[in-house]
Amino acid sequence: MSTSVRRIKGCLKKVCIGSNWRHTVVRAVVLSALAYGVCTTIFLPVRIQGDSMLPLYETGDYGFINTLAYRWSNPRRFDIVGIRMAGNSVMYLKRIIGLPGETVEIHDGTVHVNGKALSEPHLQFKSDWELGKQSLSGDQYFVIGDNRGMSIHYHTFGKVKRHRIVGRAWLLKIPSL
Amino acid sequence: MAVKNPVTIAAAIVGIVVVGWFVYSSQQSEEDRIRQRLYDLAEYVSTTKQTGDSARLIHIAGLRKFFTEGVTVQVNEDIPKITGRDNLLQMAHIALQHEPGLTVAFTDISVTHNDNTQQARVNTTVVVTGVQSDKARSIDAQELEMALVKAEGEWRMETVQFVKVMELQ
Repeated sequence: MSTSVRRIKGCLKKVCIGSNWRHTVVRAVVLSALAYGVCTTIFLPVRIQGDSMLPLYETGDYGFINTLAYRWSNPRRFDIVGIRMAGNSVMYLKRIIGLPGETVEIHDGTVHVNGKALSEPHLQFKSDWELGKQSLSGDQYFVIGDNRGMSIHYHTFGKVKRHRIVGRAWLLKIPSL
Repeated sequence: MAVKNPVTIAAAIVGIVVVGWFVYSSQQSEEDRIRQRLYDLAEYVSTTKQTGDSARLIHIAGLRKFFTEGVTVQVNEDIPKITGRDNLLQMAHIALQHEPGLTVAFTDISVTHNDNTQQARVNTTVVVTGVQSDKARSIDAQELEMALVKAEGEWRMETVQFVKVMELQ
């Protein structure tokens, strides 16, 4: 075997395995365990299905839900949050527009909070939705999608209890692969 | 005789752990049986792709074994409660007639079962995926609360209630 081939093989071996294969194996195992732990408890990877958060999120997009976002603070207006059902495997992704104790209503597509029209600069799709006054209790938030150009009957939205909010959507948008 | 080879020791430990895991997992608890029942139901519904009313009816009749005779299904307050297994199967036949490519899956299954009773409660999310006319996938997910009873050796659904995650007054 020529010297150059031996050198290339040696370099490849070092790149792939490292100078000590035992250390490499230990590092790989530790990193894998860490990544698994983080992705199952703190930053939950999500894949978007549905049109209710267009244009920000569309079917096939990827993102994360940061479960620590509300560990030391409360959800805020306009936060995009993951809302769990029976567990975290399938979640709704909606935007908070009403906070506990407030009243929310919709007239001609415009959201009114406590009787005042809400400015929503993120809103691009809008139609003439109508919704009667919704009163939020001390542990309820009002959540809704951004795609309000669709029929109100096909859009899932409303009051959700605080304990169902898993965390805040993070890394706003990873393009679908 | 002293075993000096650490690889042999490590292999023996791994072997014991693997065998032990297989033995443990082979002993199915009632909770596991209930979960498997839901998986079986989902698989059965998802394979209902028969064309023709007769074939579909025969296939749907097989759903009887998953429900009690007096099963009730409550979707929400606006839709009348479905009462009785025959009515439920009739609704299933109509639904699958219009959406033959439906696939159903249960996730996040949480089972509460008392060993002394033949009853159990299940909280789960059902995910239903369909194919629309323009070949686009439609997906819907709902949270369910179910009460099951064990009859004739099999777990069957007695009540099914859809849970409202987001409410409107």
